[in-house]
This record gives sequence, structure tokens and C-alpha cells, in this order.
Amino acid sequence: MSYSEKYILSFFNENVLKSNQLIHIFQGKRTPSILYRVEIQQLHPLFNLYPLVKKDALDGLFLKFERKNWIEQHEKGYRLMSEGTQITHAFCNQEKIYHVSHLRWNSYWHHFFEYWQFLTQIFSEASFANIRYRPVVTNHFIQEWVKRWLHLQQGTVHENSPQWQEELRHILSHLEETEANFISMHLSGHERIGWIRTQIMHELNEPLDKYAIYLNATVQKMMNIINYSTALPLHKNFLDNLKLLYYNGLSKSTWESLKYLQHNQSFFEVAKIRRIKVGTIYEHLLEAALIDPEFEFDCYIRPEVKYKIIQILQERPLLGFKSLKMEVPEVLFMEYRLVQLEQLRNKRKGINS
Amino acid sequence: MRNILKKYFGFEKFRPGQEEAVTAAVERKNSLVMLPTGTGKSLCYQLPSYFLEGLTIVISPLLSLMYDQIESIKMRGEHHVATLNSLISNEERRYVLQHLHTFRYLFLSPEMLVQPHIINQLKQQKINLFVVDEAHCISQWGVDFRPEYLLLGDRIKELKSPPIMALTATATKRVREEIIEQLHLRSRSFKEIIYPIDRPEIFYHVEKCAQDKQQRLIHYLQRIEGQGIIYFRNKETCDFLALILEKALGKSVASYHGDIDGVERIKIQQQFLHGDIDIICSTSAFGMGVDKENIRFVFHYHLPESPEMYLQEIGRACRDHLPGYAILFYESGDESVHHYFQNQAKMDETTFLNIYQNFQHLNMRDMKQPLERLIYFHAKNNFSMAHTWEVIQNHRIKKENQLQFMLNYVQEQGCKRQCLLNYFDENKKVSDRCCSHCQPEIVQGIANAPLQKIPKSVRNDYQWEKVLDKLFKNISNTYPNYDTIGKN
Repeated sequence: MSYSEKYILSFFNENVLKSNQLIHIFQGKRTPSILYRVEIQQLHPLFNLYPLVKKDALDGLFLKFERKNWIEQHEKGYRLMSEGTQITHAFCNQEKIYHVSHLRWNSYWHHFFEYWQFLTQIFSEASFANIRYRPVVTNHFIQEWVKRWLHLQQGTVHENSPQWQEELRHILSHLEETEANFISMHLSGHERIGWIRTQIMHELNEPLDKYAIYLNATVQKMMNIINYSTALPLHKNFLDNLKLLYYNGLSKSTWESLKYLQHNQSFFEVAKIRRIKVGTIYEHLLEAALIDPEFEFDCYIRPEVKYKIIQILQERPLLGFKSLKMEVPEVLFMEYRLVQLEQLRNKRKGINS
Repeated sequence: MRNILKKYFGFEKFRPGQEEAVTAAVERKNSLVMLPTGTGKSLCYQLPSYFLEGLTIVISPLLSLMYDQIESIKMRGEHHVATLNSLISNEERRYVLQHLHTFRYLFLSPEMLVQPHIINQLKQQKINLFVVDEAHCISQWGVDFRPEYLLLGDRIKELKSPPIMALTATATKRVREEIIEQLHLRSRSFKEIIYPIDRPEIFYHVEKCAQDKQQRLIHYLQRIEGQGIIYFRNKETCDFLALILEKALGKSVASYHGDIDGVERIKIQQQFLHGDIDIICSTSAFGMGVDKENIRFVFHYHLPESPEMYLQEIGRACRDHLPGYAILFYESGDESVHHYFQNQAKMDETTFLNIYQNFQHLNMRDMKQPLERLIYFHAKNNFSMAHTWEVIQNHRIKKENQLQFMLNYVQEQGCKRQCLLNYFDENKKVSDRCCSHCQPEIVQGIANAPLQKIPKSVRNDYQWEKVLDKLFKNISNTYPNYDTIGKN
């Protein structure tokens, strides 16, 4: 059984999963329903993990799990059987991979890592005052972006090099030892060529198919460290600029709609300006709320409607939108979903609504 | 000239053909320069710019190749270099066009020369040399025919006909004639600098396999010393065999193809150059821009689609002129995959007419098949329908002939080297270390050679603190301690 198979099986632990939902999650399909599914079942680490996987392959995997008596058909999908539970428990006890719990970095963590490796190389070479070296990034767009970003900083590259080094030390020291080694093995710089994935996994005595999973989790953990730290001004500035470049992890259209909404334009005004349906703007808002855990969406739910939804859901938490709408005709699906999301997140944080 | 060579390029002497090409450019002659791969063609156009006033324009068909060349120019400390291509932003394009007079080299993708405002800006510059890199792309008989190259001759005329240098590594006589004609190279004093494509250091062999290709490959790799490249037709086999070979040989093996991300690709290239990786398993993606002298072997696990491609790929071996091997592993039926793709790419009349007649409503960027793009380009540039259809048919015939030639090479009972050279109208000049037909004892020698026991290079720089210490100069003596800033 391969590492990735065990990893996927481990997500059945507290979940009933369907292959026709999981395929969209693997492929990173950003519809509100899929994003909500990810949120309620805590499937963030799987989102966009295998963007090229085909449904047939996934069905084949589920069939394999079923034949081995690890999972069984249930009315709402597949669920773990006792033998599967043993495997996943053993796996989870042994594997200490960081569990990504939101999607805000999902669409650009790999870009972050590419830019970050390049910047580290630049600062490394600068610390030795070397300007003749082969950049690890040949993509012209990235090179130009990095050049502009460096230009915006106070001080020269050489002057900022010690700061970058100190910040690297700070970030890596806040990772687990193995994670820090794993990340630093990648780094190229002055008289050092970074390792490639096969070499890294061989050295760590880990299976090759763990690489993508581990890198995804560890880089996103680094991004969290940078985002919430006050001791990393250069990295924070770099990440903030990268957020702008990648629309804070949202689709470009959602990003555009949010800009208007955050300037106090109504949903209808934004729809008119952008010449799209108002329903699409609602979906954009849902996407932002589901992807960015810090996005404040409360102001977009009408307080009186929110009050009614909360009252009803407290009595009947499993009430669907159609039934709710019979009782509160003015409620929008977007409002219903946002209230559900808020309650879900509050519950996880231990806050009562 | 040698002072310039030493000062700007760090070389003591020219490689064969370079000095002639540089001299032709300095004397403002048109030239067609055919030098074998790895013999330093880029120097031929880079050096003259230190003698001549004005701008050197380089047309390059591949963006990756273009950026490789720009990087290598910058690496030698020359920063007066710019590019105009589809990747750059409008802002950057404006900047480059406004500062053309400040650059020594300008790299252009061929489609840029079709844009009138770029031509107009270039007309105002003094152009000292117009370089057409990979000039075989101009020929419909060339292996990499690019329709945009067809307009180059006329565009160069618009730029007041500066001297032209057409560069190629593998072109048959027919292709060379077409380059000369299309670029009007004989319109002024013209020099043809043709060096044999034959690489005497390389020993040619075809290993015929019978359901045991993998084992045969391992057999050779266990006995041939040095670093090398193995070419595959697809990414999956690359990845699979790289893992198998690493285990079987105990050597460091890396897989390299289009799905490998950019940073990792550069690391593989650099580790290979540095000697940390022994064998690269690659698709045709590996090679361009990798200038390594001591590659001892280039193997082909799958049948290459043309002799041009084969020559180009094996030409990456033995640039230090020491002996090496080009072995093609063939199994009956290997050609079927080529037949399949040739059939897939066949252009039927309906599709042809649909594209040709409706090109105004189509977008070239949406077209995945090279032949579709070719039809679009012809229609857009007013080439007749009959001519375009003929080009398409010729293209198909050419592909079939190239594949047939490779099969002939595999089955050749006589000298393998001469067989390949016949395609390029050349005669061999080596006799002592030629091919498996001429010196079968060399193949026998490999078979009897002892297994190599080369310890895999071991790196121990993986602990993160050590990595940081290596990457950055010790700052404690030079810079303030950031932990204590602001503390009493």
C-alpha cells in the first residue's frame, strides 16, 4: 500500500466520502458547494492535491479499498471498516504531517515556494557579493516581479541579505526539525545547488509519493508562520505583495467583486458595474468566506435574517435551505450558508453564537 | 580579435569555424554558418558586436533557448541585452523600444517582426548584424519548420538589409539551399561556413533487443563509465526508468521532462554540470542550454523520429573530444508509436479548408497541432491555398521519410556512421573508432568489461542550520546582531 493511498484512506477516519465529490476536491474545483464540503469535512489538505487525477482512477482506488475490506458502501458514500480504521490509526500515529486547515494559500503556495527559493538564492549570492550566477528561476515574469519587489525595499539587496538570513532562521526554527531540514534541502545559493525531490526523499528515507503531500503541508505552514509573525518584516512584505499578485488566493473575478463590495457598493451595484448576475456576486462572497478564514463576512448578512436563521438552526440544525426558505422567505442561500459557516467555525473555536 | 575573445569571453583561442564566422560578420558579409552542436555558435554573433557600432538582432525560435542565451550573456557580465517576445509586459516592451539604442543585443521571437510598430522602431536603429538562430526552421524540409520564419527575408529588407548570419547545427544540403534563398543571402557578399556534422569521438551502435530492453540498457550502463543522458519518448517511462536505474546501478539518476517544475529543472541541470547526477533520463526537453563537455554517452531508449533530431541529441556527448558512445536501443515495433502519431496528425481536406477559409474567425493560440497553425499562418499571410496544401503534403512525406531513414539506420548492415552521414551528404573521416559494424570488438569489449563500482556521491548538507551557514556569509563580524538591536 503506497503512502498516498494510506494518506487518502486516513481522511475516511471521521468522514463518509463519495468519489464523485472527492474527485472535485482533488481537482480543486472552486464551487461554493465543493468548498463547503471541504470545510465541513476538514478536507483542506486534499483540495487541489492531484489536479490531474481522473474519476476512473479514483473509482479504482475506492474499489481497491473496498475489496481489501478497508471501506464499505454506506447510504451517503463510503466509510471506514474496522480493518481500515486500524490502518489509518497506525498511519496517523506514525505520521506527523501538518494538517492544513484553510484554503487561503492553496492556489499559490507552490508559487510562493518558487519565488522564495529564488529570493533566498539572490540574498545568498548577495551576501558573498556575487552577481554572476545562474538563477534557479528562469521564468521571465517571476524574475521581473522579484526585481521590482527588491527595488521597492529600503536598502540594497546586499544590505537586506542579513535580515533575510535572520528571518529564514526564525521561520525554520519554528518548524519541526524534519520539516526544516526538508525545506532547507531545496535551497540553492552561493556555491550550493539545492537537492531535487528524489534525493530529498531518499535522504529522509521516505517514499517518493509523500513528497507532494509533505511539501504542500510544510510550505503552507511556513506561510502561516510568516503571515502571523511580527518578527519577519521582509518576508511579511514579500508575502503581502504576493497576495496581491495572486488575488489573495481567490479567483480574479471574485477579487474584483470584493474590491467593490469592500467600498460599500451593494450587491446590485457591483453586479451592474461588472455586468454579471447578482447571484454570481453572492457566489463570489461565499468563495471568499470559504477560502479566507479571516475574511469578515458578517456585515454582508442582514442582521434580522441572521437572527431568524440562527433561531431556527438552533432548534433544527439539519434543516435544509428549501425548508428554511418556507419559514423565512426573504433568506438568501448565501446568507444561510454564511451563517452555517460562522456557526461551524465558532463551534470549532469553542465560541457560542 | 583574440584580445576581445579573451577579454569578454575568457577564451584563449577560437573553436573551429568561429573565427571565420566572426570575420565574415565584421567584414559585413552575409553568412550561413553550420557548426556541429556544442561548438559555440552563439559566440559567432556575440563577438562581432564589440567591433561594430549598433545593435545585433537575434531571432530565436524558442523562448527557453532565448532566455538561456540571455542568461549566459549576463553571466559573462554583459548587461546591454534585451528581448521582445510574447512573455514580456506592455510596460517592458515600451521600455525596450524606447531604449533600443542602449542595447548591444536584442533577442526577438519571430512573431515580433510581424508587428509594424516594432519594425518601425527597429528601422530607426543602426543594425550591425541580423542573426537567424536555428535557421533550419525556415525550411519546410527542416525538422522544425516554423511558418513565421517565412517572412524573415522580407522583414530584413525593410530594415535596410543589414548583414545576415544564419546559424544552424543540422541542415541537409537541400535545407541549406532553402535558407540561402529565403533570406536572400546571395544578395550581397556571402560566405558559407560549413563544418562537418560528424563527431568522430562518438562511437555508434544499435542494440537490437528482444523484450529485454531494460536489461540491455542496465547491462551497458553498468559497464560504461562517466555521465550520460538517456532519451525517452515519454515522461512516464522517464520517471519509471530513472527509479529502476538508480536502484539497479547505485548511481545518481534524475528524470527530466516538461512536468518537472522550473526550479527543479535548473537544479538537475546544475547538479549534472557539477557531477552530482550521473545519468539524466529525459525527453527531448533536456539539452538546450546545457553546455557540458564531458558527457560520455547519449542513449536512446526509443526510436528518434528523425536523423536531425538524433544527430542533435547525440551531439551533446563528447564535447571535450574524448571518446564516448551513442547507442540506440531498438525493439521490433518501436516505430508503431510514430506511425500512430503521424496518422493522428494527418490533415484531411475538410479540416484544411475549414481553417484556411475561416482563419479570420480563429485564433492561432487555440491551435494545438503544428499543421493547423501552419495553415492559419499561410492563409493569414496570403499564401495560396494550393501552395499551402502542397506544403502540408510535403510535410507529411518528410515526416514519413525521416522515420523510414531511422529504420534504415537501425537495419543498416554496413557502417552506421556513414549511413547517418549519407543523409547529410557527408563522408566519414574516422576509421579506428567508428561504429559497431566497423569495430565490433568495441561492443564486445563493453560486454566483457567488469561491472563498475562507483560510489554514489554523498551529500551531507541537509541539516537546516548547516545549510543556512553555507548559504550566507557569516554576518556576525560584519553586521549588527539583530537580536540585540533595541535592547539595553
